[in-house]
Amino acid sequence: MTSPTGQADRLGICNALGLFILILAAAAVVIVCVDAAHRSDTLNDQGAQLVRIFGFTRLSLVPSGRTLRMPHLCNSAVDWRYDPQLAGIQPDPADLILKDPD
Amino acid sequence: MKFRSSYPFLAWAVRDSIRQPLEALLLFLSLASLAAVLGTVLLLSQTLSHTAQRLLKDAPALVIRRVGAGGWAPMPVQESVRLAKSVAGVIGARTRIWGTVNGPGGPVTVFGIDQPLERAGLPDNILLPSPGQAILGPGVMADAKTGVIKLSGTNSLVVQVAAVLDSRTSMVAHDLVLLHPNDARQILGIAPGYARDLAVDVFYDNEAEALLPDLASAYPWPVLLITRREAAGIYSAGLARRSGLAYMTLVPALLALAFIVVGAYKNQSARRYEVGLYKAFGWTTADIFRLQLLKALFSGIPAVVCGLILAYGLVLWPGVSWPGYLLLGWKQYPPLLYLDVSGALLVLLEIALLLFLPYLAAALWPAIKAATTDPQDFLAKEFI
Repeated sequence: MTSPTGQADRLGICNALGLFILILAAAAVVIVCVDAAHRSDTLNDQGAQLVRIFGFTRLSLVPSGRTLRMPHLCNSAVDWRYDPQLAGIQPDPADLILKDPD
Repeated sequence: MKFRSSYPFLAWAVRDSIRQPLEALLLFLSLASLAAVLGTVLLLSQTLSHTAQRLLKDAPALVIRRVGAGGWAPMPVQESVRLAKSVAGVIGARTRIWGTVNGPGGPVTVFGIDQPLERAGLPDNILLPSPGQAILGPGVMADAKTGVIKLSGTNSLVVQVAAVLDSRTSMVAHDLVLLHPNDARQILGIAPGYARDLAVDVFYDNEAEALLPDLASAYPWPVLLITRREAAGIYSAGLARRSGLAYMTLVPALLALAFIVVGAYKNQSARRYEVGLYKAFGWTTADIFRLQLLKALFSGIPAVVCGLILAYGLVLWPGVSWPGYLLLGWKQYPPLLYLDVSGALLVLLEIALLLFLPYLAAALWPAIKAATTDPQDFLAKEFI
């Protein structure tokens, strides 16, 4: 399996390239694992502290006034972003009838 | 110079792969992009839900809201707290003054801080707002360049910006404005001595749902009770619905995976002559299996690793903001996400297996089938 000149057909380079790429991939996996293991879990501590202190029950992942921000307060048929009475958003009456205590 | 290596099969596999560089590159890009798309979608959904649950772990066990014929009604502070505490199992109750109002860049949530209650646990770097002052969440800050902001709810009020919360609180307080309770009441149109709702802590978290009938009957007016579990469930369900759109990308991704698998199978089937040649040279079935396995791994491992690392970086890089634009409905200044890594590696491993198993099966099966056949059949057929 060698060329007429007696040299292997770039098999040496291929061998080094294969090892290099596989070692590189293994190193990348190790780096991700190390990062995941040592990633500080205190990044959200200040946020969790605010939840505990102020008694928040919602995160601010979606904009204020959106249904997902306050699912119990909104009628999903209305886009509350354009409600002139944003502060006085009313509950869904059907929900009240179902949950009204005896 | 003769070739010598401790890993001769690897050298053969690499040589064989780079004989067709364009094909190898396309396979690499296909697998890498597939892994990146699948990884990003699944990782975002899993870590966002996990982080949200972790953040809300210490939220109040129950929230009580008063309802009347006209909808929500303010609750008298002292009487509401007294009635809640009269129920066995309740260890604490505090009223909350909050609501959604128009801010400088769109709707914001204002929250009135009850001074004596909150001071004890407040971080030292945060001052409580005095009357006429506001503490802004990181997302509101961007709009408050003049140092004052105008908030318009039932009434309008201009308040001075006293401080801005750290950007790491973005997931909790991104578009939040903390105010003096009197200012919050004025903007929201709540009379003095009244609040929006009541946050209740119970002795055993698990008994919160069992206390609902007692709490409802303790109040002389109709109330709506929402437990933490219920609130978190709604939240998770809402997020899941939104990320359902993202899951739509899985359909073309799986289709692409099917194409890759079929391509690998056909490519291997078309090269049966080579297998016959190797056999004629004296290679054993195990040698051929090893060669094909190394070829598949040489192409597949770097591609899948690259794709998954890209997904890991896109989702779990501290302070990523693109999900806010694409999935959560923000037009500008989306919240910075600091997502929990726990469980992420398991998701990545699942995706790697999901991609690798069909790909390896498609690459190896024809080779094994060919290796167990008489080599003369291949060679004879090739030259006929």
